[in-house]
Amino acid sequence: MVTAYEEGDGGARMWVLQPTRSMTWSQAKRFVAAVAAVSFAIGGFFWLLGMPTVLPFSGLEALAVAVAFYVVLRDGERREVIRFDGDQLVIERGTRTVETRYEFNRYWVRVELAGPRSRLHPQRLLIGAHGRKVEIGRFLTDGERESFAGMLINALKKNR
Amino acid sequence: MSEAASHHDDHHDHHPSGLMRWLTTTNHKDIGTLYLLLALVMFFIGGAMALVIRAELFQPGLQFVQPQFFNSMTTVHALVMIFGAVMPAWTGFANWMIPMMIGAPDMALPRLNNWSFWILPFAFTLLLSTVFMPGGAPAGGWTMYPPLVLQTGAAFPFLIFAVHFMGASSIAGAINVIVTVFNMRAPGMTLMKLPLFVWTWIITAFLLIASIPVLAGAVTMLLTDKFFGTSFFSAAGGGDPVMFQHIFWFFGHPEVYILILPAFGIISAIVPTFARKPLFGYSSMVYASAAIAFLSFIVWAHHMFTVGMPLAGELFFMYTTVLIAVPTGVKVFNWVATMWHSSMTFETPMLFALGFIVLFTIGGFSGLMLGVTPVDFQYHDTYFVVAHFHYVLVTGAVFSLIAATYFWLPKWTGHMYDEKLGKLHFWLSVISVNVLFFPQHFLGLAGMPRRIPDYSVQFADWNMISSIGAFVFGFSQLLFVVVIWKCVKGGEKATAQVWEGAHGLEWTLPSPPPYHSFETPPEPSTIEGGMR
Ligand SMILES: [Cu+2]
Repeated sequence: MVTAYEEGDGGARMWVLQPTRSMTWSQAKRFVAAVAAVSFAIGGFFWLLGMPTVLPFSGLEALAVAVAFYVVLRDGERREVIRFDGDQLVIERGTRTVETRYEFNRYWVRVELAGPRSRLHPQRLLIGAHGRKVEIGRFLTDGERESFAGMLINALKKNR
Repeated sequence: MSEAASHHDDHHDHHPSGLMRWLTTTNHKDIGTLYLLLALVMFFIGGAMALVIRAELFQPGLQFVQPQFFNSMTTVHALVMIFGAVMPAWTGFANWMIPMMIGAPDMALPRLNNWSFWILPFAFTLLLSTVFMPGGAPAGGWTMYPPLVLQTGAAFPFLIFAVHFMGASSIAGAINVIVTVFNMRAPGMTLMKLPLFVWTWIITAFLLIASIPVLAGAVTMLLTDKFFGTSFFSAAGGGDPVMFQHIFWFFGHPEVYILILPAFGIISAIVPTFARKPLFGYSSMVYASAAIAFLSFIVWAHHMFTVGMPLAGELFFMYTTVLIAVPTGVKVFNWVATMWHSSMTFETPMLFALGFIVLFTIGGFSGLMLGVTPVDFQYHDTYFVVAHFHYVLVTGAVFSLIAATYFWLPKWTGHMYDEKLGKLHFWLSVISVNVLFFPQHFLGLAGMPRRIPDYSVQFADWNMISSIGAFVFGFSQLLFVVVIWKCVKGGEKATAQVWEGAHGLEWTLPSPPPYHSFETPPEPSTIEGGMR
């Protein structure tokens, strides 16, 4: 998902890139609890019938479901912020905090929508200057990536 | 995660190729392809075992194999077809299509996806290697009933661990589908707008999550009974072998719907496409699938009416079983209503879909007959049961898998398949499959038991006809491989939409999906709102 922000006179712009996540943390918690409840109910039912080996597998499975949702929702908090700062194009990325930061001179920036590494793989959006390249928007769909690349190129042209 | 990603940026031209690419891939299309190829290979391995069975049954008496080996063939054929062919094929389709259908860039857990696939070749190597072990491959039937299964030779622990691995792989696949669909839908793609293939797959995933731990627990108790002195299922130690049947079928009946629900989704995509009419009763299809899934957990004992249950139990399981005919009937009605007053054409996917609707319904009806307790006392463990579940699984699940392959092959490869060969494949299959399985109804009604290498002479005629059908059906499937091979290699260019009546997000992507780079990226005005 790409969100665009206008700043002041409409010249400078900022974009926030994030993976699409349809669930909130609290929805996910309730969902995992419901799945685990059903799984434990079945495991418990067989426990009561004198067949105790189902319950440990139910537990393992509930754990796996919980971990899966945690990983995916946590991963969904990744952000890439692309903005103009004076003569610089700044790319910041991280989860909940800025973990890495790249700066490029905006007049030298090249935006490249490269073909996939192997057939059927997604395209790559590369931003770079002076031989340095950063790939952004790996978690976007191809459509979103193309659309964003177009917006960025236009913004770069406008400010030249 | 982010650390790894940013680290990767500085070396973005490093990328594995050749075999390593396939071992390490986390791309949903690559993994989907791997699953489908594995399923195809397993389909032929399981098919070869079926031909050993039918060759032996061509005439009464023993001609080709020993009874022990014959029983290994029936057992391993079932395990290979269920866990190695049909289930991985559905996961392959899920991997390929679900992200495209919901507008997601990939599956939610790509690394788990890689791992859940590569577990499978390992599990099946383990299972198939038992053929060469002392005592031979497991021969007690795929249902693994004790005490018979405990007589398995050196193969026994390998059987149990192979089943554990298959279960782990299925659970991982199911979790991935659930997390993906509940989190990665494109904005605006609400649950009641999901294509039915996605819906039926979510319901399948919930069935897997509810039932696989039960299978894992059941086979674990077999293992402890055999090696650790427990007696869960041994009457001598105070256990009860019938309890295994209860626990196994608590898993086993939902498993049947795991194999067939995604088929309902496929048919619900194909019929409207070639009828050029929207699907009749979308929401009733969703509710019917959910109802079938719920009912599947309260019918299990219809597999064991003859073990001596209280009358109340037999009645309960009979009523719940025949109740499943209601939501299933809703589905068949909706497909027929979709075709009513439509402008149909009969390309290969549609032919297989129509074959599915007619022949799966025959399997459904014979299932109703088996669900009636007093009648089942006569049919139990006869060839009538074999005929029933092969109509459901071969002309049901396998036909829908073939239909889906023809339906999406142009999308995947960018080429149209050879329509003439496709139609020939259909007609050869649909005729031979009935020659193969329909006579088995008669054999069962006349009293021929299942899982026997030799039989009395009064069953000779229909067995001979059935075997002829089997060989024609088996070799006709080579044609399928030829069509796929030709289509991958080349052919008429496919358009993005492929089929005139096709609807849905996956048909708006180019065929094959993204393989282009832009000299100048498209202007935002032309692509904004073009959500993919
Ligand atoms: Cu059943």
